[in-house]
Amino acid sequence: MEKFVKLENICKAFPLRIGVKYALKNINLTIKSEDKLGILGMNGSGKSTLIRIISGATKPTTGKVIKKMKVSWPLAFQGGFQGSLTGLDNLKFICRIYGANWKEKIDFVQDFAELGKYFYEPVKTYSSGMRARLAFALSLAIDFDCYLIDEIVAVGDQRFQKKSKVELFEKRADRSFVLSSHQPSYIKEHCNRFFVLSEGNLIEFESIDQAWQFYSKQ
Amino acid sequence: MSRVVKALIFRELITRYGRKNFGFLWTFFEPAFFAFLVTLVWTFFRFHEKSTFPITAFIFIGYANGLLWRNTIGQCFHAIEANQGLLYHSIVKPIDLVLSRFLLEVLSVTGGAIGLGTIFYTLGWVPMPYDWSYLLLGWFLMSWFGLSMGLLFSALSILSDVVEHFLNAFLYIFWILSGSLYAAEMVPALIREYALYLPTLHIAEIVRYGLLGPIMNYYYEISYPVVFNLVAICIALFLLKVAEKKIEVE
Repeated sequence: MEKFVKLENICKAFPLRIGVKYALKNINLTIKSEDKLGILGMNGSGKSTLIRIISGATKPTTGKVIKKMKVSWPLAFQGGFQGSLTGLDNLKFICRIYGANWKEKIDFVQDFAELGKYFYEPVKTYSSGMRARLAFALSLAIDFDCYLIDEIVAVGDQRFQKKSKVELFEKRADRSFVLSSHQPSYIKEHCNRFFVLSEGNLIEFESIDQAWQFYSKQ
Repeated sequence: MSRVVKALIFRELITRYGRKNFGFLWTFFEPAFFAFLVTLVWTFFRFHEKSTFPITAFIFIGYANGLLWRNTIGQCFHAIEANQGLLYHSIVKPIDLVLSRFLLEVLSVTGGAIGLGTIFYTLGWVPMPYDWSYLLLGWFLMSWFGLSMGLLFSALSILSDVVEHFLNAFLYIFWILSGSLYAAEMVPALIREYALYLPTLHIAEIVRYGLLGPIMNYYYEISYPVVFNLVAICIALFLLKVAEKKIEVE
């Protein structure tokens, strides 16, 4: 079976105190396996909204999302942590909802997040760096066909960032990615399809340079 | 039970009861304490010398049964709000958040009732149930009522900020009126007629009959709470569908 995600005529409107803001206007997009999408957009251009709609966390106002592959939640998301749960509890929860065996994932998460003994302590005792590393490790513990990466993966120190890059882009080179950023370098390095999100419209370009040209003229 | 709901229950067990707390014992102590108190007053006024009415059993079963809706509404009310972050995982649906809290609450109230019932039975204060099928039917109907109300209020809590302010007063008044703590026979016929519009009174009567047997006149119709619950759960599910559109994940 062919694996893809298809967005059809997606619109998203947010009610404001005065009027309505159209964050996304009639977006059509197909993500096939091994596609690596880079989306350039300024702050507030709707990148996060688009990524959340692809993930299914946010419902579009109109239009529909057809999902024929396993799509991750936005990577390194920390909102699901509950202070009284330990790192291990969070791993168990994530594995349970996605139907994975948590016992098989302990070593990976422990090794990747480098939490040591803190893995068995409540998350509320973690530093922000530790939380971010745990969130990142949990995102990678589950196997997805398509990974959604909202903004640069700026988690941890340089060594950790390098490790994350290897884990994501080298070990998972056969997967799809949607990477959003307001800087072109990361997208240039890892993507093979290039988009600019501008005023609610998603425009595809042949190359990152064309995309960047359009983007920087805005 | 769905994988997600099961995972949420495990998670909720830790976050609610903690690792060292004995929080779940509250569902046990609350009816126990109340039943003791009423029995004490009863004995103080020497009612037990004039009447053979099994007051402890009466209070115990009504109270424990009533907790099935009172506690579930309280738990379900903030279920979605409190766990909104989890909706980032698209396989977690708002209804899963409500369902998991509901199931955990029913389990803990039922567990508490079984524990307390066993102790009271050993002490000779509560008889062996007269008809298990009625007891279980009433238990089921009240849980269903709790689920309908839990879903309804969790939807309302998203749709309107006003609901929260009235909820506590509403729960308090309804707790007294619901029928958990009085029998239909105990109120004047004129009032009874109106009281029987409350589905909870029918259910409480069914449960009391199941435990105590024909020691008094019971007033109930099984079909009434069934129809009420069916309508209520449909309205609740519809409102939740409407409310879902309003939920914006941070």
